Amino acid sequence: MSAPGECTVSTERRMDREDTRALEEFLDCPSLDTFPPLFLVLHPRVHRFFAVRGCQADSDELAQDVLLSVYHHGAEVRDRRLFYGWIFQVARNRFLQYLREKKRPEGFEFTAIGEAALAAAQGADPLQDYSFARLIANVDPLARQILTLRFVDELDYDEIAFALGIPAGTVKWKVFDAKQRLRAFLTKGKR
Amino acid sequence: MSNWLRHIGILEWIAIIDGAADEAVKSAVKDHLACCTECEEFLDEIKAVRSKLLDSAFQVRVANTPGVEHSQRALEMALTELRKEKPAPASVEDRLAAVMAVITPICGAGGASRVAASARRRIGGSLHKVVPAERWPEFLQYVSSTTALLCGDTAAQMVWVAGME
Repeated sequence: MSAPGECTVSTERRMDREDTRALEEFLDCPSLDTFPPLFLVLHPRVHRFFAVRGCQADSDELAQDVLLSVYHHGAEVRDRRLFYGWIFQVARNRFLQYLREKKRPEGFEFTAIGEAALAAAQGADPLQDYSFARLIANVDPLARQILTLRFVDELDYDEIAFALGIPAGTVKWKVFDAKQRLRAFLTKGKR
Repeated sequence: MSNWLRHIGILEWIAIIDGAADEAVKSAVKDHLACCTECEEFLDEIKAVRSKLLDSAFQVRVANTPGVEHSQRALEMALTELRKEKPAPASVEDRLAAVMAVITPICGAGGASRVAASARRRIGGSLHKVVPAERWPEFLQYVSSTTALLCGDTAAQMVWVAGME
């Protein structure tokens, strides 16, 4: 609760602080007592990671696997600022393993995002010209992956770099380059 | 190369578009945009792209984020799973302390310290060399053998059991 006279902050910002506290408490002392608050912070994002990539039927199980890895190995992450990057690296590796188990090509990741996003857009504002899937279909596979991590999974540049094992400068450039390409695509569509 | 990339550096563009530019960059870009319609138009169009990405990604998130009750149920399942698991092994220091607690009453303080000194010599003086934990049985075997020489087989057996608990 804010002390009298303290600056008012937005709900979103307060949630960030609560998330950070849950994370810090778990990393300082990983236990069954400190894990539940962190689990409740992470579960929606990790579950969504799998759901938007076309694993709706198995996303409960896949998210559970990732979060159990967080419980067992989260405290081993050296740089806490990159904790989310590490989680998404674990999630991505689990996802690739899942694709291999299901004998699906890796490109399925992005087709599935398209299907999920299009399905979501059907019930959305009809004035929305382009769904996320249709937008990212105009860029290369790495850029699609990066844009999805940036805008859907809400990771920052450093976290994306960590999750994908590429330099942060490359991530920044790919996002910028993708926006340029989409600008050309949208401008063409308008004219 | 397009003019807008000649006029403003790529890092400055990225910072401006992401809203992360410092005051000096903001001011320099603002001054430039006041007299360059090409860059101004480029910035507006890129901002529109960013806005479309943000809006459409938001729709994806809304449609795919599980509710609080869903997460609560998943948490219950995770906790059930974790409670079934064996507790994490104690640290090497804790394990060695447990072993010494067994040796001391049987071999005496002098015997225990001779076993400990011999064990430490064996691993080069640092317990960290016993990590990872996979090397613990090998180390314990050595401690147990030394205990057998000093205090007999029963003590050695007790050391082994205490060390493997």
